[in-house]
Amino acid sequence: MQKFQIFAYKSAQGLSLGLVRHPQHLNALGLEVGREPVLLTPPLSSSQAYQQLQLWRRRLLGARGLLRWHLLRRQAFPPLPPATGQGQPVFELVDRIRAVLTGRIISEQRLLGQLRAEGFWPGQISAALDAGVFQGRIGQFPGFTFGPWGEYTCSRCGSQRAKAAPCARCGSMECLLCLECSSLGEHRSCSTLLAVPGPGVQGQAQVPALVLDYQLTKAQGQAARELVEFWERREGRALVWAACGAGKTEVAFALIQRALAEGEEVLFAIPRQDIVREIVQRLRRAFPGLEIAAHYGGQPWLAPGRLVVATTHQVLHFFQRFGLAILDEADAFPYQGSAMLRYGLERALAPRGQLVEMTATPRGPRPRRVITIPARHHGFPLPEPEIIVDKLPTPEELFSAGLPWSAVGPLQDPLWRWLVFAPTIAACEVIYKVLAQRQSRPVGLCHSRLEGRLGAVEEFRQGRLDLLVTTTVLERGVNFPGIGVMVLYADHPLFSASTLVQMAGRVGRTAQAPTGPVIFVASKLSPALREARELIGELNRQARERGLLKNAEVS
Amino acid sequence: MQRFRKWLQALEELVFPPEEPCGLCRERPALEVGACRPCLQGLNITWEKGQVHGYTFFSLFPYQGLGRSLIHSMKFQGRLDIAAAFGRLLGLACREEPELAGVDLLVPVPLAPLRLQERGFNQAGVLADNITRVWKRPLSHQVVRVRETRPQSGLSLQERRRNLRRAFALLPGAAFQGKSCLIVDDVITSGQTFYALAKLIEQHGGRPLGLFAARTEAVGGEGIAEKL
Repeated sequence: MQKFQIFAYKSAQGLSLGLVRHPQHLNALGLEVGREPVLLTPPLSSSQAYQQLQLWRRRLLGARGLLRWHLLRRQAFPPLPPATGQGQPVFELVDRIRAVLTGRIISEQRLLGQLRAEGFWPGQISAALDAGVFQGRIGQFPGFTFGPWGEYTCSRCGSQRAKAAPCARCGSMECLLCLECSSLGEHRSCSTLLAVPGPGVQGQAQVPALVLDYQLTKAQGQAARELVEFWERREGRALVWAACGAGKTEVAFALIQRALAEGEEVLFAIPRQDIVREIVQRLRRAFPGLEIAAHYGGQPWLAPGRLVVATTHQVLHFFQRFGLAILDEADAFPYQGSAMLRYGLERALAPRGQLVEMTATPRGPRPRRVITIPARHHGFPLPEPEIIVDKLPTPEELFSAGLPWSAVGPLQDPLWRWLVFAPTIAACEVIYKVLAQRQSRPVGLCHSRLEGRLGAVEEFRQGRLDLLVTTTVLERGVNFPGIGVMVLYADHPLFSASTLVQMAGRVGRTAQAPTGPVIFVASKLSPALREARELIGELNRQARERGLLKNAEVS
Repeated sequence: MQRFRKWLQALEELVFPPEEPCGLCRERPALEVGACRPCLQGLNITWEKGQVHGYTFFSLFPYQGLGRSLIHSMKFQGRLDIAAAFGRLLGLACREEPELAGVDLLVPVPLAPLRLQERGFNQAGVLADNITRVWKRPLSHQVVRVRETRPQSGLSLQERRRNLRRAFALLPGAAFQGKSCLIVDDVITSGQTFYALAKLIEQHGGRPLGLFAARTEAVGGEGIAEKL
C-alpha cells in the first residue's frame, strides 16, 4: 500500500494541488522553474489523502488562500537530485502502464505485480504513476469516496456495505473493508484504483467473417435485423425477450459483427463460468480467426481481444471500454437485483456505448426498444402451465400424509417422464422418499449438496429414471427430451416468476418432443405464479399474431 | 520568546481560523454538514417520510442510542449548541428534499408557558431558528399554547389525545390561508402533538407538513406509549 502527500504549486491557472507518493517524485513531474511545489501534509492513506485534498482546496480559495500560500511558500520543497530510474525512462514506463491499463480499472497492487514480473522496480513504477496521474494520462481513485454526510462508497463496486476493521497495511484501526466485492479480493479504504478509459473506436478495424453452420429461424432472423437497426439508430438500451430455448445468443452475432466492423470493442457478459467457456467456443466457431478474450476467475486478466466474454463479476475490472455490451441471462443469479454488477456494467461501457440485455423473464422497467423472440425453432407454442390449487402438507407432515392425488395422479402417466421441482433441499429429500416408497416408477434425486448428482442427471437423460426430484439447481441450462415438469409448493417465496418460467421452459425443447405437460401445484395463487403464467401467455400470443407458429391449433 | 510565539499563533488563528469542530462532539473536525463522520454514523441518519392520520412528516434519525442521549442533553441540560447542529443538519436535508421545496412558513411547536419558564428556551424554536440559517424560510410564532398541559411522556395514547385537546390556538391576525406550513419539533413519538397542530393549521386554510429531528420506532402506533 502506497501513501500519498498533498502538494501545492502555482500554475498559470492559479493555485493547483496534487498527490505524490514520494517527495522525490516531484522532480519528475516536469514543473517549470520558479513553480517549486510545497508539501502540505504528511503521508496519508489514499482515502484520507483525497478527503484532505478537498479540505485544502477550500483552504486555498480566495484572498485568504493566497495569503496562506505566500506564508507556505517559505517552506517550499527544495529541489532534490532525481532518484535513479527517473527522467526519460519514467515517461516510457507511463506509456507501458497506459498500455496495461487501457480499458481497465484495477488495484495498484495488481498493476505492481504485473510490472514487477516485467522487470520494473517499485520505485520506478510509483514515480511513473505519479507522473502519469499528474499529466492526466492515468486515472487514480481512492479505495472509498466520502460524501458530505459522511456516507462512503466503494470505488470498485459502488456499494455502501463496508465495515471498519484494523488494517495491517495502513496501520489504521478503522480502515473500511468492502463487504460486497470481497469475492474479487480484499478492497479497503487505503487501496488505490488506477484506470485508463478504453481506446475508443479503432477506425481501420478488420471486418470479422461470420460463419453460421445453421439457419436462423424466422423469429431469430427478425430479432437479429431489429438489433442491427437498434445499433444504427443509437438508441442506447435494448431488451431481447426470448422464450426459453428460442436461441437468443445466436441472434446477437450479426450485431457483434457490425459493432466490431465499426471499430468498437464488444463485451458479452454472462453470469456463470461454465457458460462463458461454452459461449467462447460458439463465438470461435462463428467468428473464425477473431481473437476472443475469456475472463473468469483464475484466467489471465490481461488476455487480449476486441471481443471479450466475461462473467458478470469480472466486468467490474473494465473501465469505459466497450461500444457494445451484451448481457445474457439478465434475470439469472447473481445479476438479478445486484446493484454492484449493474454499476460495473455501466462503468465498463464507453461514454456513448450501447447495452443489450437478454432474458427469458423481463422484470422492472423496460427500455423503449424491446425485441421479442416468442417462438422456438420447431414452431410449437411454449407449454402453458396448469396451476392446481390444492392444500399440500408441510414438508414435516409430508412423509406421513403423502402427496395429494392432484400431484400423484399425473406422475403415474406412463406417457411422460417427470422433472419434479421442490423449493428446498429438505423438501426435496422428503418428496424423494415419499415417491420412492409409493411409486412403482424409478425415482432419482438431485440437489446441490448431493455428491453424485451428475450421475442421477445422466441416468434421467438416458431414460433409466422416470422421475427426478430436484431443487432450482436444474432450473436452467439443462435439456432433457420428452419430459413433463411438476413444481410442488409453487407458491413458495423462493420461487420467483423468473424461476417458474425457467422451470416450465425445460419442457418441449426438441423438435422430436415439442410439447409436454407443465403443472404447478400450490396452496394459493401467488403473484409470482400469476406473473409466470402471464409472461408465457404473452409470448405465445405474440408468436401467434406474428405467424411464427407452424401448428397454431396445438395451443 | 514564548510569549511572542503565543501571540504569533493567536494572530495566525485570527487570520486562518481553524476548521469548525463537530457541532455534536466538539472534538473531531466537522464535515461539510457541520458534524463529524463518527457522530453522523452514531446518529444512524436516515431521512424518512412518514404519515400520521394522513399528515406527512419527515424525520432525520431514529430516537435511540446517540441520537436519544443528544436530544436529552439538548432539552434537559440546555445544550443549545446541539440544537444548532441539529438545526443545520435538518436545514440541509430540507434543502435537498423536493417535496419541501414549496414550504412557505416554519412553525415551531410552542411550549407550555410554565415549561418555557422552567427550561428557559423552546427547543423547537431553537431548531427552527437554526434551520432558517441554511434554508431561508420565514418563521411563524403565531401558534400558542392556551392552557398548561402535562408532559406527554409517560401518558398512554388516549391520555395524550385528551391532554392536547384545545391546547393550541392562533394569535389574532395569523395568516395561514393557502400557505404550506412546516411544523418543527425535536421528536415525534405518538404523533399526537403534530396531529393536533396540523389539524388546527388545516382548519385555518393552511397545508401542514411536519419536520422532526428524531422519530420513535413506530410513530403513531397504539402500543407506543407503553414502549416509552
